Amino acid sequence: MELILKKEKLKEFLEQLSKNYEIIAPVKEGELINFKSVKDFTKVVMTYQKSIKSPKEFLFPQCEELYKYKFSGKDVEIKPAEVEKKPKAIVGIHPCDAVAIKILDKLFGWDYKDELYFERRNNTLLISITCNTPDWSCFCTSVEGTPYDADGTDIHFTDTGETYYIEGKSEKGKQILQDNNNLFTEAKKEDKDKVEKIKKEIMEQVPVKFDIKKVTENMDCIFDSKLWDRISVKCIHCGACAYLCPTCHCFDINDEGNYEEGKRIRCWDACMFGHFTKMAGGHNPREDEKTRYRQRIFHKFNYYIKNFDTISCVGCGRCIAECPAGMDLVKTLQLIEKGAEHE
Amino acid sequence: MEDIINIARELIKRDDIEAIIGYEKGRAPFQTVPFFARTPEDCDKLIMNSLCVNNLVSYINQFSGKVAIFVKPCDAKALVGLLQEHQIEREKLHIIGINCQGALNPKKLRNAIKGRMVKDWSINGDKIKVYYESGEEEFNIKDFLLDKCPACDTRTPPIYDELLGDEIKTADLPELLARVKELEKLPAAEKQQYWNEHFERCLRCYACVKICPLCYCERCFVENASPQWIDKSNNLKSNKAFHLIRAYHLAGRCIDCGECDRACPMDIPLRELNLKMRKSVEEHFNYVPGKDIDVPPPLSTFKKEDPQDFIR
Amino acid sequence: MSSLYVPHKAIIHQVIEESPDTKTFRFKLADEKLHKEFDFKPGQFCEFSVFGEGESTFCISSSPTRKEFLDCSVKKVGKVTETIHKLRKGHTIGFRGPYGNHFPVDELKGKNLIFVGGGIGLAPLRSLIQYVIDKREDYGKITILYGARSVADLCYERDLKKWYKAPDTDLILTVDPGGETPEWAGKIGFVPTILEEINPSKENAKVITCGPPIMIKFTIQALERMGFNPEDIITTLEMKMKCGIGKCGRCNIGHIYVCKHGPVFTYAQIKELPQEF
Repeated sequence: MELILKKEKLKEFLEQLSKNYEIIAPVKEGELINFKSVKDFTKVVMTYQKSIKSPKEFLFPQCEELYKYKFSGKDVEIKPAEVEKKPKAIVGIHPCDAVAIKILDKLFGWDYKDELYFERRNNTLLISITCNTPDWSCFCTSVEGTPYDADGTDIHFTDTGETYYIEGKSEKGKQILQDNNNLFTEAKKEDKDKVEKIKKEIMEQVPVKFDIKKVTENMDCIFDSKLWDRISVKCIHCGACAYLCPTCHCFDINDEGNYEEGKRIRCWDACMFGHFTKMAGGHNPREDEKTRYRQRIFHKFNYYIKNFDTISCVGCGRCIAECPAGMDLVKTLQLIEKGAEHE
Repeated sequence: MEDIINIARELIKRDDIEAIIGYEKGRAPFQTVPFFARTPEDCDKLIMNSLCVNNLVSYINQFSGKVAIFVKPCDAKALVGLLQEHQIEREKLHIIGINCQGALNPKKLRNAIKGRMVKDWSINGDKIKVYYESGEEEFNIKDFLLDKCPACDTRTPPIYDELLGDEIKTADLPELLARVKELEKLPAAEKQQYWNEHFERCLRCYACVKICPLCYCERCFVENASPQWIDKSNNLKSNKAFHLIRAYHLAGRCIDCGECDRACPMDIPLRELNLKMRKSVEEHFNYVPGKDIDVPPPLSTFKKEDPQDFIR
Repeated sequence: MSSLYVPHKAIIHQVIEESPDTKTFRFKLADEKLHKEFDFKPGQFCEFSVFGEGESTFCISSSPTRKEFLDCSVKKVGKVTETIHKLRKGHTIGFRGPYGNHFPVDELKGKNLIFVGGGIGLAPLRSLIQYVIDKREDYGKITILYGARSVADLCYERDLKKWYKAPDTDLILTVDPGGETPEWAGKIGFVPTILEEINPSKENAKVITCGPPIMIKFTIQALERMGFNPEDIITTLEMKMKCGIGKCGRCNIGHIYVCKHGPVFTYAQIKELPQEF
């Protein structure tokens, strides 16, 4: 199902959609592009260069309550958290960030199904858009992605200049398009050709930086390499890379409150922080910068494959673009591609 | 550039120098990254120009032996602070001072090229030249300076063993604290609103803490679990507490290198907060951190004749 | 609605002082039906919480063959355990579990079992020892070597007395040199040394060991010298855990998540892991 939406009709489409969905879309905040819950649809920026955060936080919030507790005498009342009931539509998600959600699904569904995540997930419509503004840090094409193929979303947009070329992907997505068919026109052959041309042009803007097969093959024999000492020196162990990453999912569980009442929460945590693996008795299996940086790379390009049959990186490049110390994941992976013998 | 490579090559030959801390070119357009030269061949990668923005002094203690370090005035000011606070041993340092006429904001430059693919770039005098796949473009350096630079009165490092070039004196600078004074004038509610909007965005990634050369506490108060001073969750209340406590910890110590500003992925103007503290310390103690290693920092100096009661 | 991370309420029934820094908390799930239906295997762990303080990971140190109560033994090492130590009879706690794999109780059937424990490391072994003693006919000879820094640091005094009298069971106790009292009738020496001294037969035997990392390390070295196969040496690993269910991302050693694939591993499996624990 391929349709054309005139750009000036986007607002109307979002208005229609907002009858059933809370609209989450990219908006400008100062110099930043950020996904926000939007009510004024004129503020929506569909064509943008990388949002600062990925929209993962709408499925897996940075901090969320797990339950409340309240004592009366010796007995305690426990009230499990409920997720928001209104469905959400994440509009304008780039293909890299959409693929990341499929990667998160695997972890959150690993034997124990994380209900908080899946209740939101199953209640969220994904409307993706071809990324026609990749920047220097993007490398989706090196990790088996493309700037235009958002597998697993419901509706896909491509900005063709004057119009949006729209593909209905899932049944749910197709239904929504059908319900609003007064807003669209049928796509013609020349529209299709134009989109193909756009896709080809964007692909050229994101050249392949390394052979991911070679990288993942080499991972197993590089754990003890001196490489890690050398490349981790620059790292300052902040959590910027992990918190901006669309696939990072590590979290911490804590109580906030007192012994009478309060709540248990989970918050994002990052393997780059020293306290992450520090045990109560003081022992820390990943004490230094080298082991922590190595954990991050191995988790994404080795452990995740072993447990879930996929790498856990979509090449969005946020960790590279935003690293205050200039750590460069692409460079690291290129070194791994060359193998340990090139130390 | 040849100067610094020659200096580095001579230094690394010395038995007592483990590494030279400087910069190399990064992969991104207008990006330089910290670099640690350990061999003469490494030295050839070293660069120094107005896109060298990272403060390098935090890396000194990563090395056990003596290091040589290229310092811009900002790095040198941080060194002064760290030496005053006994965090670095002077004997383990060889300091090569570099004059600075202002550093460039790489993000601003990247915005200016509007997504075009950059092949290379070079800096000549007050111009930066950008080479695209086809064609080239020239920009004026002064349009792309980091916020901290125009009003900076330190163009020559306050501490060095050898200096490249001659000392630079400054004159007719714009007022450093203009922005702070502007913010001070806001009614309390607007001020609150201004900071709330910024703090609300905080991710608590602690990039500001970790990049800061003066934030060297082995265990930062935000990480402490017992007692836990601040909630782990990133709500406005705890984000605000985090940034305000941090600003207080840096009062009289922050040397205004602006690294917190640069590091923050969420564009929180942390430098404004630190400048406010700088203003207060200057007003009360007539002291500016990072200027002179021989002037004792007021907030860590004890005087018997202190005019205030509580300290006696 | 979240239920994965929501604990069951449990009521402390008894607090037993095991040593100057270790207490056993004996509790029951508040919901009686749930408690009756609750099942687990020796070696599994749980998330034990004090509301307002947080969760901690402990192995269940009682046996599923003794259903009346659940036991967790807690050594005071940090902020949460300090608060746990203040708990008294009647207090309500939170309990999530059981999690992780377990000792291979079926595979161990018919085998001679050698338990080597140190300090609080006896806790997971205790669950299995109680289990095999309760199903005595299914298992071969039992040898228990247990040591601690000093006499006062030996845990589970009441159990030790019972095990001493159990059929076809040898119990050898030892304390580190200098940790003995004038009345001490057991051995004096480090666990691995005593293990080599008593030299149990490796024929048809499996060793299950748990204790401080340094003790495990030297015990394994001793066992290898004595000719035990890595496949026949079983131990439990400890990493920092938060969720207990393979999500929070911190207990991995290589791609192995101690909370899901473990905590019970053979030495043969451990040898394959990256040395990062």
